[in-house]
Amino acid sequence: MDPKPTLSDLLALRDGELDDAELTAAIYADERSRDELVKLARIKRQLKSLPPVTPDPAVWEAIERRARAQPGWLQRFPLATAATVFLAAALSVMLWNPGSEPDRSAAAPQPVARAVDPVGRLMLRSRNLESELFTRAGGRSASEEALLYGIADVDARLGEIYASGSEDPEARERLWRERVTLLESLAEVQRGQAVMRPAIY
Amino acid sequence: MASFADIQLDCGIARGLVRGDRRAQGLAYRILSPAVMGMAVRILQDEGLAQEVVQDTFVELIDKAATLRDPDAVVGWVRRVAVNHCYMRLRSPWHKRRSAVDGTDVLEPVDPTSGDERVEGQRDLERALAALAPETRLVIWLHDVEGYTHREIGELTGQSASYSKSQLARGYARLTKIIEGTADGSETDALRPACSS
Repeated sequence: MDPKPTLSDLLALRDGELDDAELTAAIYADERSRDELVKLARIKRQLKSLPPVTPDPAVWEAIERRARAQPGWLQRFPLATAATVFLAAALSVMLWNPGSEPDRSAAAPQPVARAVDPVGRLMLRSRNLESELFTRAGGRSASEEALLYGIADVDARLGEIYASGSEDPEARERLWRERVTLLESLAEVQRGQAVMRPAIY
Repeated sequence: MASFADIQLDCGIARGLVRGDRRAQGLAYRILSPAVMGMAVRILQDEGLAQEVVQDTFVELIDKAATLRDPDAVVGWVRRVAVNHCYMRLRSPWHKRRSAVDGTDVLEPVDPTSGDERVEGQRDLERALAALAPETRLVIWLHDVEGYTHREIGELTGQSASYSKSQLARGYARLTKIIEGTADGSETDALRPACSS
């Protein structure tokens, strides 16, 4: 007696999940079962070809608002931030403490930035820009937020380089240069806003 | 195509997500959100709830991306989170009650005079899907479109693989009847006793 296939059997055969050879043969031998199988395969194909649906644009705005309400970039990159603060502190000790520079000539005043390599100069420039920028009070614009995220990103990459102990001066210099450029852009944006405010009010 | 399996996320975008880069977040949203929305709106049959699923999924992605060890796994991660959000809403008593009284179409109606057979076929299928019980719809979508196995669906729903198989067969029995016009699509399965939980 031929086994009678159920809808579950047909679906299992369609999906390659039927491991009963006798039942498989019975399905293929029966014209009605074959027709059913074709129909089930067509529905599956149609389901898979249903078009994607684009959400309302307001959804992304809501996501951004909620994401921004989460801890900010300082919290997002705590290690990188700590590394940057540590580097800045170490650099300032190195540059400003005369006792730490044994070869320094006492005869002539030394330009601070001259004493260090390109990375050191970039670090110094970075520190000076930061001290200028982060003393400013008030809220931040979207451009400022975007630049701060960029800086946090560079800090994260710098943190990785320093943490891994990688000896790649070019990579360090490139990242510090990128950091200085972002800080300069941020300074530009803030200067622009400082000029705009009196004009508005 | 609505399936996540058809989506390729550039590894630069995935790495940017892990770093918390905002441009990468925006790009990932543009690439992935139509698939999340497509899945959620078909499973939940409620545009507002589907948009909530999109919102929750991407907020979670932005929040947790830094913990993702494998940037290549972002698409699968988003799919898993979105499926969980859909299932949570499906299980809520509020949604169950609402499903029992509301059988309206949630996707924009297709112009019936368009003459496009494919579009007509899609409309019939959307209508047939809407007429199924919510959990049956979930099983059909996850199995047939997203390629979940019956075991995976069983794990998600806290049921057995056999439960998933029987839901699939039950759903197909009704889908084929509705598509062939031998069942009234306006009578939703949600009016039947709820699926076993």
